[in-house]
Amino acid sequence: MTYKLELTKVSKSYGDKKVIDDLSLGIEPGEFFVVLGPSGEGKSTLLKLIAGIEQPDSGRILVNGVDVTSQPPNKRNIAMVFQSYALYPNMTVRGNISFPLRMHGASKDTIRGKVESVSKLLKIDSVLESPVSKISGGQQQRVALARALVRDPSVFLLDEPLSNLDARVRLSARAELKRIQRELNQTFVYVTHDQKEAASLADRVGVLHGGKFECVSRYQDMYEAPLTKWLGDFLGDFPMNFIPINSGSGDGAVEAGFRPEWVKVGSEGFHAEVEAIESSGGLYYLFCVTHEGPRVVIRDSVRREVGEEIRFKPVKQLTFRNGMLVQTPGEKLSEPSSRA
Amino acid sequence: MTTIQRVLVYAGAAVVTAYFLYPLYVLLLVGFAPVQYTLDKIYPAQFTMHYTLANLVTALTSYGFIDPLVKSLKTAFLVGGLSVALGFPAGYGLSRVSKKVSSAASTTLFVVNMMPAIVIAIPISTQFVRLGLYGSFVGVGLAQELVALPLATFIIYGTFQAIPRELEYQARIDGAGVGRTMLGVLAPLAKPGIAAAFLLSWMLSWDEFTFAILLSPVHPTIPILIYHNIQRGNLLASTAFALFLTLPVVAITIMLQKYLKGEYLSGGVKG
Ligand SMILES: Nc1ncnc2c1ncn2[C@@H]1O[C@H](COP(=O)(O)OP(=O)(O)O)[C@@H](O)[C@H]1O
Ligand SMILES: [Mg+2]
Repeated sequence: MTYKLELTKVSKSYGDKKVIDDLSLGIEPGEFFVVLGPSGEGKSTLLKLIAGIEQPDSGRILVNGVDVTSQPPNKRNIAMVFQSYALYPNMTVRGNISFPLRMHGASKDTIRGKVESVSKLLKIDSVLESPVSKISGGQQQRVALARALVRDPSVFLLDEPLSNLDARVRLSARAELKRIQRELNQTFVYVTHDQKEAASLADRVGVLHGGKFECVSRYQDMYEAPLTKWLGDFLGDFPMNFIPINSGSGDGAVEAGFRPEWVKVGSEGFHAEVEAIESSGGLYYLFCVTHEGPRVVIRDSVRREVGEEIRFKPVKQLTFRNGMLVQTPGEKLSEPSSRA
Repeated sequence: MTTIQRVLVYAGAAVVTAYFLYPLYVLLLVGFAPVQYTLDKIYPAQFTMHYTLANLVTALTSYGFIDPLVKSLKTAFLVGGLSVALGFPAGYGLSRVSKKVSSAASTTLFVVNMMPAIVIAIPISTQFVRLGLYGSFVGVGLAQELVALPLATFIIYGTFQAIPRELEYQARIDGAGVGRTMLGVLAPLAKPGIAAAFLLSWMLSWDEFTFAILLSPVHPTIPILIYHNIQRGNLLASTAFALFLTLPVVAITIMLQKYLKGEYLSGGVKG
C-alpha cells in the first residue's frame, strides 16, 4: 500500500540551527496523525515543509506516492489551517470559504453549492455574508476549517487550530473535529503542544524532539511505556518520577521510572516528606522529597498536610538505562541507592 | 480639565491655526477682491465686502496657464504612478527579507533625499539633454521620482510589515499563484499604504521646484510659472496660480488624514 503522505530523510535548518533533522514518516490514508511537541521544536516548520511554504534542505516529500518536493504550494493540493486562522480580513465569510474554489477555477454553481454545504456542516451558514472581523473566535476557527474542507485536498494540515479558543469551546470543537474527520475519512496531520488534544484526537502520535520523532505510536502506549526518559518526562500532566537504582552490572546509570498514579501511599516503601500539594478533581498530587534525595510527585486520594511524613510504594515501574527504557512494566523496584 | 485650562488649550490652538491659515487667507483675499483694495494699496485691507472673479479670469486666460497646468498634472500622475508601480514590489521585498537587510536597505533608500536636490539635478540635466528628456514632463517626473520613491517605498514597506505573513502562505496553499497572491490578496490589504504613497508622491511633484526649473525652464510647471510671473511683477496672476496650486494640496491632505491614521499603517489588517 502507498502512503497518503510520506517524508523521507527530510532536513531543514534556519542558519546553523537544525530544526528538522533527517526525519522520515509515513501517514496512511484516513489517518488522524498528531504531531506533539513542546513549543519551538519545529512542529510548524514541519507543516510548512509539507505544504511547500518552506523548502527542505534535503529529503523528499511524497503525496499519494508522487514526489512533490519541488512543487509550489498551489500545486500540491494540500489544505492547511493556521493557528491564527489567517482569514482574509477584507473578505466576508463566504469570500473566505470560496477562495480556494475560485483559485481552482470552479464554476459559480459548484462554488455556491459547496460553500453552502460545508457551512451547514460547520454551522456557520447564518454568518456567510458577515465580514470575518465581525464574528466570534469560535466562528472564525470554523471558517478557517471550512475553507480547508471545502476543497478536496489529499491531506489536511492543521497547526494548533484550537489553541486560540476558550477552554469550553475548545472541548466541543475538538470532538466535532474528530467527528468530521471520521465522517469524511480524510487524512489529517494535526500539530499541537496539548497532550490531551493529542490523546483524544490521534490515531497515532509522533512526538517531535530535537528535529526527529522521539516516538511514533498510540498515545496511551507511549504514556504507559515511554521509550526514553525524556519522553516519560514530557508526557503526562506531571513528569514521570525517576529514582536511581543499584544495577549489579554497573554499566551506565540505571533508574526506576513511575508515574504519580502508579504508587500506593501507606505503611511501606519509600519515606518522603510532603513539600507542596496540588488538588485536581478530588485527587491530590503530592510534591515530595524522598529521604534518599530525589524529588517525586505522587497521587493520593487523601488530603495531606505540607510537612507530613509519608511512605509510598510504586505498584508498577519501568527501568531505564542511560535514559532508555530497558524493560516493560511489572518488575519490583529494589531498594534505592541513595549514594549512587 | 478645568474650564480655564480648556480655554487656554483652545486659545492656543486658535493662535496656531490662524498663524498657518493667514497666508492662505491673504491668497484668497488678493485672488477675489478687486485690486484697488489689495495690491494697489500701500496698506492693503485685511477685510473687504467687495468680491470679483475678474482677477482669476484674466490671470487664467491671458498668461498661458493651460500648458503648465497640463504639464504639472502629467508630471504629478507620472510620479504618483511610478511610486506605486515601483514602491509596491520594493516595499513587499523589504518586508520579506531579514530585519538586518531591510533596516540597512531602508536607511540607504534615503541617501538621495539627504543630498540637496540641486546637486543631483545638474548632472541629471546634462544626461537628460543627451537623452532628449530635457524639457519633457517625463524628465521632470523621473527626477522628482528620485525623491518620491524612497518615501513611497518606505510607506508601502510599513504597510506590508503589518500584514501577517500567514495570509500570503494561506493564499498560496489555497491555490493562488505568486501574481494572484500579490494582486488579489496582498494589494487590497496594502491599499491604505498604496494610496498614501500615491498621494504623497503626487503632492511632492505638484509643488516641486528645483528639479522642475532646472530640467524644464522653458515649458514650465505651475510652480515655475508662478515664479516667472512674480519675477515679471504679475502678482495678481501669481496669486491666481497659487490658489490653483493650493486647492488639490488641501484636498489631498484631507484624504491623507484618513490613510495616515496609525491603524492603517500598523495592525489594522489583523484577521
Ligand atoms: N523563518 C524562520 N527563520 C529562522 N528561524 C525560524 C524560522 N521559523 C522558525 N524558526 C525557528 O525554528 C524553530 C522551530 O520553530 P517552529 O517550527 O515554529 O516551532 P513550533 O511550531 O514547534 O513551536 C524555532 O526555534 C524558531 O525560532
Ligand atoms: Mg508552531
